[in-house]
Amino acid sequence: MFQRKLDLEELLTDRFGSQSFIVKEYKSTRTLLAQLAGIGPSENWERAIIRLYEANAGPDVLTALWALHRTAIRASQKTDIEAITKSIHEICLSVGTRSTIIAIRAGETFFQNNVHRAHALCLLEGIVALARNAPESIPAFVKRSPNLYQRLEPDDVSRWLIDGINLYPDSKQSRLAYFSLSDPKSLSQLAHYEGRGQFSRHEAHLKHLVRCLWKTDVNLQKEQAEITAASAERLKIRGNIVLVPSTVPRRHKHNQGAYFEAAILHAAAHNRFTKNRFPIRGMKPMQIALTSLIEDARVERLAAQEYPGLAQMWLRFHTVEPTAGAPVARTIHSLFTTLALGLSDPAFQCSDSWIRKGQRLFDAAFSSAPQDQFMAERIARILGNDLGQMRIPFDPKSYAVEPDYRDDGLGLFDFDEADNPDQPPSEIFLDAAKMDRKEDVEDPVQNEDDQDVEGSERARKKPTSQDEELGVVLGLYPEWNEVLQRDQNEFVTVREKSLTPRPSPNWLTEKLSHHAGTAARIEVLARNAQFGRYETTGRALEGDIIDMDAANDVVIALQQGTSPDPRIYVRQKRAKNDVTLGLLIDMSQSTGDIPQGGQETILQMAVISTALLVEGLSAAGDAFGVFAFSSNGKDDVQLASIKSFEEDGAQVQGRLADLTPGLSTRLGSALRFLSNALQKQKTRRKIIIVLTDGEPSDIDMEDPRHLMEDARRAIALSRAKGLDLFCIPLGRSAHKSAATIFGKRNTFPLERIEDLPSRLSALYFKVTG
Amino acid sequence: MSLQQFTIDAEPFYAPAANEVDYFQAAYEERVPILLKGPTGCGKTRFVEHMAWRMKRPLISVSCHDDMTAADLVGRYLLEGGETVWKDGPLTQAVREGAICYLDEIVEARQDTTVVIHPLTDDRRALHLEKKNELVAAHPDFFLVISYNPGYQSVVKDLKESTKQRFAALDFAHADPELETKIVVREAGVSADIAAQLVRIATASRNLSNNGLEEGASTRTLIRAGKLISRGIPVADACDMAIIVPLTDDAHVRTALRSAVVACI
Repeated sequence: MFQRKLDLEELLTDRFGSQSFIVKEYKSTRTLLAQLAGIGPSENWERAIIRLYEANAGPDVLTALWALHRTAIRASQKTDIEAITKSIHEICLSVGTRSTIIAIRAGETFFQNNVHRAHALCLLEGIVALARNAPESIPAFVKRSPNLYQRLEPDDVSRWLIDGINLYPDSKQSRLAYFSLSDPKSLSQLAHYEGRGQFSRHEAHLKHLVRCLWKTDVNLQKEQAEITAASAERLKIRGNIVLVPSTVPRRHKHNQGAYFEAAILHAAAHNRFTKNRFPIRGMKPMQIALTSLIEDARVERLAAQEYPGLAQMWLRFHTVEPTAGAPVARTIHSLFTTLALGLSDPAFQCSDSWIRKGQRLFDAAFSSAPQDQFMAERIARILGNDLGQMRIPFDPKSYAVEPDYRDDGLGLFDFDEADNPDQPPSEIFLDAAKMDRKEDVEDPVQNEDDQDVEGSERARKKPTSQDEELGVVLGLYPEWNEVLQRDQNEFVTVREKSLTPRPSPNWLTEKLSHHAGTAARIEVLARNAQFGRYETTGRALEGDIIDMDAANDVVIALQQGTSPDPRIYVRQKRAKNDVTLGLLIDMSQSTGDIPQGGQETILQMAVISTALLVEGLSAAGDAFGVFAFSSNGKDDVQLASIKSFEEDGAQVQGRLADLTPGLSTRLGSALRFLSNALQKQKTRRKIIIVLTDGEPSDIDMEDPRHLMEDARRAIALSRAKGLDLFCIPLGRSAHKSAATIFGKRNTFPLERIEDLPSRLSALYFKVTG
Repeated sequence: MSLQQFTIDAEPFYAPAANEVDYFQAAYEERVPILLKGPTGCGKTRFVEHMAWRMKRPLISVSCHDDMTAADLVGRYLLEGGETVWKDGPLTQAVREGAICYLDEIVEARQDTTVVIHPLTDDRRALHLEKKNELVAAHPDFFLVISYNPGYQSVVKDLKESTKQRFAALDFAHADPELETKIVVREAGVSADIAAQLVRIATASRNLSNNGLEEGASTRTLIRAGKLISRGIPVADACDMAIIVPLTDDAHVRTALRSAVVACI
């Protein structure tokens, strides 16, 4: 064993005496770090290297790491060096020398290639996560990493990574495929994060922009990616909804905003100027495409008449090089893209007679009746005929609208009016029909679910009404990953657990009769609470108490001979019941235990106490909701609603009596659910009280720290939203973890479980009084 | 303090949107107090100045604020040496000597303050100085004008019904684009093209009022932007400086407005 105090240099000389280059490299690295970042000899760096050495990192790992340090320090800070060393240490602990060296070399390339340091660190963290869960995929990930950091924000790289690990926890082969981007799911996730992240960042400003220009609101909706290899899709206009696919054409992230702006403004221009949908009446796919191309040009020209800057903005997205005199290739793609430019840019001169004809027809029609949208149909018929005579084939399957910011055009047509239903539908029709079906799926829970990692699979597995086993999905909630220090979005599914109210009398009403004394005390508390809350306002014109500050000012004013301010009173008003309580009861398996010397189970005590508190609350007239939870893995957190915030209390006792202990305690997700519901309440104060008998745990979680940290995170976020959270731990073992999760001051331990009824109500009226 | 300092010598530029000049004149002849309603920076104050100049009456303007007491309007006793001396407030001075008194953004003042103007606005035409126990009969030329921005209107800040009904009101809106362009050309000294762009920008921003913005860009901000442009600042930058940044701190709204500026020019 080495002493920590031991000098690293001595250590290295001692160990690698024969390979003096190691000591040399160490010295030069140390000197460079000291020069560039001011890292002194006694600092963490040295200790970290010793730790790494003790973790059996051989000379190759050490020299590679120093090389990485020397590269990284030119582009980063002291703390980065520490983070890098920590990451490499963790990798080294999980995987062998070879993979560690691959990771280090990868890290070096990140820093060499001028990747932003946040990105580089994030990628390194990603490798750490892989080392823990999927070491075999490190080389594959490293190889594809440039692709990732070009396309994703740092946060999203981690999300994509976690998705892969979660998607295939047991299969090395599938993971390898995912991380080498050969798995379609991997690509679609990638496209999903890329598109989603980008669009949501721009959504707010885009809505403002459309409102700003045209005083209308555009109904933007994100459309989920299909699980197929990602190909760039166009925006879709369906009725007054604009669907933004998560696989929109990619731009470098600095230009993505401009893309969305062009796309949304184009859709908004349709909204404003395309007054009718074109009847389809047996139009051929080519005509449909041409009509929509001409209509695109018409609405853009109209929009540009109001806002001249728009023309220039849209023109930038045309990819055709306007070289005058060059012949246009006789393909649909080339002819259509050139025509699109020709109609958008009046200055565009083209040698092609077909394009010139299109320009001429369009200009003539537009100058005589710009509002007549059916010019598009007429011109399309003429131009389409010409194409037919030129025998240029149109393949609807491969056709994509250009420039790529434009919508797919199908929203401009009225497919219902197709007068010949027997005609075999072209691909375009198929597409459109597919889209229309999608629109019908209006179930928001389903849609949310789709965003989940395994969402699309699960969504199919679980049409809520058919599957009796699992409850209705109440929501998907993130969970904090302590290791990655990140939220894993839509990770946990919270489902409704239905309760059958027990008719009265039942065991609960019977037990309550023994607690008549407690009930009376609680009623007094409630009455006092009702009358005890006051609001005071100073400097009032009338009131019972004199405001000393104001009185002082009066005397001064009188002395000075100025007119005194007559508002010298303090007014007290009885405050309204401005508080809502959310009570959350743990009903996991362990609450079925009967504590020493007791008669009721923990859950029964909690239920009795709740029933008593509920009566007090009703007497005080405060708003409240009561919920109970248990969990069976991340996909089935069960939440029983005993009294929602909207219901009256009629069913409370019957439902409380129906609670039975079972399963585990995923506290964080239950808290997130309740916190969300409570935030919608209108009262000034919002309080959550949790009754739980132990630390959070669940069957799919080995590390108890994970769910504990998640609960802490959920609490911190709720507190940030202005909620107050308290906990009454039930039983000694629960006390410590509750204090860790809720904080000592917000945890109210019980001496004896029998005290719970009075204690719970006392707590509530104390914190609200 | 004599009223001399309150007279306006040079003609303040005002481009009438409709008949407001004649109507104001008529109200003045009949001494019917006037309430001007309209958004910020649409020309209410300028209009009053213009009318004062036109009718050759001194103009005493008071900007109301939420800490203003009745004493700030009518006057108070001050200590001077060992003696208390009465000092007329701006309203009292206008009442005594016959000026136009303009109370700008009257809703900002506390409601108990605004009631002191009540006796001045009906047949009594007198101001009661409670502290001094004096009833000041209004000079025949005294005229009261108040202004009020309905955009700010809320439950807490609205004129009392009894106050509202003592006035004849002129409703001001942002001038229509053509007129506003002319105003910007005249006031900022920019070309008609630039002015038209600025007006387009303002019109767009007004679409966001109550929807991201409290109020859209006012004519005043356009004139400011125009002045900056005439100093050689590029249009987009001038709009950023004079219109967008003062208007909002919301990043999304700013981005949207900047894109709108690009679309307008």
